[in-house]
Amino acid sequence: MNKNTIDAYHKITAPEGLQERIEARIRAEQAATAARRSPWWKGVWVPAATAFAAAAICLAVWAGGAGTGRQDGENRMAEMRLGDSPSVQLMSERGEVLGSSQTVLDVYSGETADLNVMLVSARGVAPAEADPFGQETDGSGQKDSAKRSGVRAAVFQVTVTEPVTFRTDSESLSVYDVNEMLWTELCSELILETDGELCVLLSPMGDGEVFYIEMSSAEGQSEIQIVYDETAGRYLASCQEITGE
Amino acid sequence: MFERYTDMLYRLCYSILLQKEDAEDAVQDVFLIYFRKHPTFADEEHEKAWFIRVAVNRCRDMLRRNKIRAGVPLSEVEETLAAAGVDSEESEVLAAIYGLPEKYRIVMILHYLEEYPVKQVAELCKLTQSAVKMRLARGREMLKASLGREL
Repeated sequence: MNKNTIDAYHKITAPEGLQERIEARIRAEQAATAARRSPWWKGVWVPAATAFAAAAICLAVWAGGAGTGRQDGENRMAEMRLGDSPSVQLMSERGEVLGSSQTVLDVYSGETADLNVMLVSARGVAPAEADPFGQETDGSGQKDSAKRSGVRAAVFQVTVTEPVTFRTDSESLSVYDVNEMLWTELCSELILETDGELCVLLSPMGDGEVFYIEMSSAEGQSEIQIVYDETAGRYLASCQEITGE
Repeated sequence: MFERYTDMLYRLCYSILLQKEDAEDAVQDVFLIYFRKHPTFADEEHEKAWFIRVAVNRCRDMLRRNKIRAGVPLSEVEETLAAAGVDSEESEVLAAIYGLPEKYRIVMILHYLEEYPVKQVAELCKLTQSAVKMRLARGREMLKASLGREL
């Protein structure tokens, strides 16, 4: 590329007043943030109406374990509600259903050693007492699952060393890169329609990648959050569906 | 901070999005992310790389979300370049670069216009170096076909 082209490229400059507009936006956001002071997760989860309004079972999902690095850098716990029919499935590349939120009481291990999916539940445990990403759900996770009475909490714990597919009836699915605070929608590239559902291929990401998966729908609220926990060396995923907000 | 990066980011975002208003939005978003996140950097190069990476990601995100830029009229791009004082010969070259598919365009811009070495382009785009080289080679081929000459 000759120098003239490079010089020509550098003639493109930001429009006048852009800096002022940015500063104004930042000031406005700072003011809004100061006024809001709400729990971090309220701003994180995408609101939408649920297709499963008659939720008989509400599952509280606790996220925010080690390595999540959420907005203010603190590890916090937050309660999220999951409808009784969240239609979330985790599938292997071969199309096997490895787990779903409808089988939330199950502890499921994939057939391959590389792909281990656990759905761990704990009902009737206050958020502060729950330890969804801690020792209680480590390893096989079996001891936690349906064996606790009054299950109201669910945590997807996912170890991904090969691509897996998340299926949902939501309309979009994005990966959130926590390191760069950016959502990247995957659906446009990876969506596969199957009976009106979305299938999204999620490939394992590089070392230390921390990301979330968000699913949103015009009518329904459901999300899966995938977090690569560096400490645990695996992906942690949680799913949720919110009603009434 | 603004003075150091605003023009560079705008240029880059415009080159990807090919719409002035979108590019402006993208630059605003990048600075907002910076002020929300307050990232720390080892040095200025690291800082600049972060801004570029976030800007590229943001633009890609906008492209995907909005399904935009299937075809921005060349005349609009040329108008913008003319307004920036780019002469017609160079405008033709830049417009040809901007006409490349996104995945080639971004690496071409970062390498040839922002003058980042292949290794750094690979890091910025989360690609392997060989993938960057392949895209550059393919991008050059497409430019040659488009312009009818080597650059």
